[in-house]
Amino acid sequence: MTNSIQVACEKHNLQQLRRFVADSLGDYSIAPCEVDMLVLAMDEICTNIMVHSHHCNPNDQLELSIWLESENRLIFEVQDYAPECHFDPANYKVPDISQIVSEKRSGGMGMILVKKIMDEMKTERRGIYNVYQFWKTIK
Amino acid sequence: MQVQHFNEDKYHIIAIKGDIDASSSIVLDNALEKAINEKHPIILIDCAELNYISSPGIGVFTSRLDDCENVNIQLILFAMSDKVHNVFRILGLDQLIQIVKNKDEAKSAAK
Repeated sequence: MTNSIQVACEKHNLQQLRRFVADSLGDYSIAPCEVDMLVLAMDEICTNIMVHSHHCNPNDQLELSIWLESENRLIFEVQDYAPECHFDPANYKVPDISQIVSEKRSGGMGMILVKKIMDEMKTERRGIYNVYQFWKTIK
Repeated sequence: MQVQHFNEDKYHIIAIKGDIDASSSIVLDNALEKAINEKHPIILIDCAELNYISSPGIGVFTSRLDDCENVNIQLILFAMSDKVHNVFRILGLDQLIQIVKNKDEAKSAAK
């Protein structure tokens, strides 16, 4: 079964997305602390897409889908219609956290979290839309 | 998301309630900036009612940490849930930001 949600690329919709991820994961036997981390990872991904690919344009939309690929492997997929993929989580080079602090940066940590939480990720262009996929093996 | 400021003896406390994400982190940033500009020597962040934090919220602390150190302001976070603490821990920020269990410990940790 696939659970999907479509929202406008506005940051106030992040709460709705988090609720959707938590509710969807309720269909599987996943420890609450792991659910919290997966909710966080998808919040970070959707925030990046809303901000960097769509500049929070309320006329643009993204779609998030979650399904079980195999017995214990979940797929999280985000699709959007931005003209190109503005970031590639799989090839993102994780910065050093002490460097972020010394440079007084407020950004750059979202992708660190995603890379630590998710097992595998892939970004691709399919025709006129972008697909961001993330895999997580549940224990 | 809501923030409240109050003073207890020599301590300036900012209590956070709700979720801090990309849409609400500006509220926390403004609150912390205000406290720093007011030059309170000890700022304690009460996280007891902080339900959720994502990287924009964490970024408020990382971007202000240096400012606090430069003007000798001690910043201490306390009463964090395991869920919120885990986010700091994953990033390794629990080693760079002072985080303690409760308000009494925060006051004891303040120099």
